[in-house]
Amino acid sequence: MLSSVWRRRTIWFGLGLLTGALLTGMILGVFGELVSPLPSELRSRLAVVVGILLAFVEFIGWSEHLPQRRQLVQATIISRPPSAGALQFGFEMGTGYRTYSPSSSPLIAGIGVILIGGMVPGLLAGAGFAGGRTLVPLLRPVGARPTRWDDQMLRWSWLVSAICTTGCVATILAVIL
Amino acid sequence: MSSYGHNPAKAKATLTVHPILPALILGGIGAIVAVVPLENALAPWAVLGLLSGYSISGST
Repeated sequence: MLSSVWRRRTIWFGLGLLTGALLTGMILGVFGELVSPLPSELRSRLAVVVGILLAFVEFIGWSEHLPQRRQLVQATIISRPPSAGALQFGFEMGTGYRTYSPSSSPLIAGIGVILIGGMVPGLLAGAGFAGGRTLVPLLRPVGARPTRWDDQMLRWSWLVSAICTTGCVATILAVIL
Repeated sequence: MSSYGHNPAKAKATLTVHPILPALILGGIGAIVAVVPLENALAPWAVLGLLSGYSISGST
């Protein structure tokens, strides 16, 4: 969970998130361009099947076993100058290279970008991803009881993930239909 | 109430947003995007990104 050090540096953190997520979105977009010669119908069906399978994995509580790096951003970043540290913290988190993912949603989005998206959708999804992650330092109470918010998030993260995953699958369907 | 006329309990009472609320709003936007045909075919991708980003907000 974000510490107060990073909350005070939300702009740098958000900028880092945006840069990292755009980089990942661009890389996924390149993969999307590479598979674009495959028949559109095949790619669409594959995206729906994979999306529904990943949502199923989410609902039965196995999403933590899905492929992910499972490595936190290094604590040494905290000792760097605050803005540089927040920027790097956000960047590494935004790329998805250093984070835990308790939800299937990022995989659904990533596979969607590769199979039925491309470069521009990849960049847009990346920008959206950064926006979604920036919501936490923006919404988490600043002065009052931030630990209570953290407790609520931990308690209800399964429902948050389930709602977002359902929305991701619906959005993939919207793109196809 | 303290001797200075200051109520610490009230001072700490700030507006907080329950973590589920943004997910519901974003999910609602996703549902609208899925149901309503949009002129801009790129809009769903931004919504997809928002949903996937917020879905892992509980992790570092």
